[in-house]
Amino acid sequence: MDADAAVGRVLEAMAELDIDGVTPRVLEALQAGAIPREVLGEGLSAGMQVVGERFERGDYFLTDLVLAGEVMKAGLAPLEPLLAASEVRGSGTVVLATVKGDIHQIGKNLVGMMLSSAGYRVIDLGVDVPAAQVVQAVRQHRADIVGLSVLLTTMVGQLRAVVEELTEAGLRCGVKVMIGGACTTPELARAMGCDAHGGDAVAAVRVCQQLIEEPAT
Amino acid sequence: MNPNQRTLIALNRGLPDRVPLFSCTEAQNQVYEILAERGGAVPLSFVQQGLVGLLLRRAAPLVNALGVFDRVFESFLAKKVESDIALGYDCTWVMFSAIFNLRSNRHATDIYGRLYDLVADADGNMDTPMYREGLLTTPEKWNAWSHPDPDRFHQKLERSFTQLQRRYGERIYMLGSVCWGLWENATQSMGLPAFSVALRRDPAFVRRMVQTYERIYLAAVHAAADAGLPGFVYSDDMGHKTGPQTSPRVFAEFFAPSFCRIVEQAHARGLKIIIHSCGNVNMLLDIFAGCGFDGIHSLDPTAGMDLAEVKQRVGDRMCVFGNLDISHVMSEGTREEVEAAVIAALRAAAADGGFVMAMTNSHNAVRVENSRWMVEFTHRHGTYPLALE
Repeated sequence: MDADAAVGRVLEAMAELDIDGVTPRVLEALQAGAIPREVLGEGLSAGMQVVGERFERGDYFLTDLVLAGEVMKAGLAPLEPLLAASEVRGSGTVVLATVKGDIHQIGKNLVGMMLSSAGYRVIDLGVDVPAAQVVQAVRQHRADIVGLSVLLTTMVGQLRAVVEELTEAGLRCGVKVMIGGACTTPELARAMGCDAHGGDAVAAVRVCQQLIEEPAT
Repeated sequence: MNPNQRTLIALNRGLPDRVPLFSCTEAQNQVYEILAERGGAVPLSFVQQGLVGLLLRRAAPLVNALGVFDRVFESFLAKKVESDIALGYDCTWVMFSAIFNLRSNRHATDIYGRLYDLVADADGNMDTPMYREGLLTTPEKWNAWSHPDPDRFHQKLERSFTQLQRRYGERIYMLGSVCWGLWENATQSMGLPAFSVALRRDPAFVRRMVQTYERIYLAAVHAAADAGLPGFVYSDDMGHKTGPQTSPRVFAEFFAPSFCRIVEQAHARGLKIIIHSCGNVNMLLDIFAGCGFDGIHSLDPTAGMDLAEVKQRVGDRMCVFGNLDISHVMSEGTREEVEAAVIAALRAAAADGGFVMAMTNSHNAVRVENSRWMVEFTHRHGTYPLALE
């Protein structure tokens, strides 16, 4: 089998969520002479893009997105030792967090997975994250975007707290803030001084691309 | 009509004297404010600091064995029902939640294998523990877990429900319930990633898991019937913001057979049974109606659930409960906004009966004042025949 065909089989395994088939196919592609960056980009990441498209069409569901994350991990395992840090594409840096007082993480983790697959450098701060920690991470990692997740209606005020702390730290003009989560809407994003809202993990990638392309304010 | 008669007629999709009101309030601050009782709520700091905090850090298993927090939950449930009666609700959701075991002064587990954080509400009071992750992340760990014994579970619930029914049953229609439903138990005890992998790799294991949870759940349904409760809420959050968490095919194949058996047994024991699910469950409505549930609740507008559409699609088979928004209207809305929301809900779903007015859910920021307005305006505008301009 030639390298291109083998990479195509990696894409297919990813898109079909073949958790047990993806690792052998990645190894097969490497043996066929594919370079690790191609296996990642044209195999796994391209397959993840298909997963996202199927989710948006309603062919795949939340459990499929979550399974896709596990398939991606299985596919990356043999690749990671072979990939130099410089070979990871650099679409931008995104700091992700579930806001202080909220520990829901499924949505945030899915956004992180989809963004990583799309080539973003993702700094995931976890759940129940104070605004000050978000600010610190933005400064440390020179983030382009902050992605804030909130499920609990009672915690939406934390979105504004992050925006205010970014402003106080003088970082707000260099970083875009996007939000997502069960209780969020585009109106809430505007009301809290944020830049954008992502309706689901797949939409979040599109929103990130738009935010990166927008000129800084 | 009294609240029991009014609710039963609505559940039978008939036309009572007015639209009944359903309470799903669970927040301590609201319950104690309605009852004008100060000091009833348990501050989280009481559990996490001082001598109690130290005791829990060192001897949580002893506290669990003594059933201290089971009694706290049960006592709160009685207060919640009292507050619902005081506010003027016709029916209420009595969720049996004494399923937690404290692990320390910071964390709890439950009888199904979840790990929770102990958290405070906005007033600093102890809130329902917040799910953090599943502990049974492989079929092997799930198999090794000591799952609840249905007979002992039945005894515990029957005792609790019987006390409530004796004290309050003539004044309010109580729908028993238990933490948690089959989907939530299956996905949260394993964690969604592990569950999603199991669904792919080992469907037979998933079936066995669901059947185990069904047996436990049925014990709760029979306990409610034995206690004399008239109704039950099958509570299971299956939706997320834009759709069901898994495909309708998976729900139909793995879960719906259990839902149908739960409904059959509830009906066989004379219980009305409604289904509650948060999130967008539009794609699952026909499955729920097909299983024979008597009503459906939550229908959260922030997840894209449209009351009129639901009524049109399944109103001939299920009573519709809903769906006042708690993200704004019931937590910070004005009196005019609450009145407008009540009228909008009545217009959408109440014309031919088979409708119960309710908020979509409960949280600490819902204002008691707004709840009173919801009751007031439902009384004013929800009396049949409706006269909505």
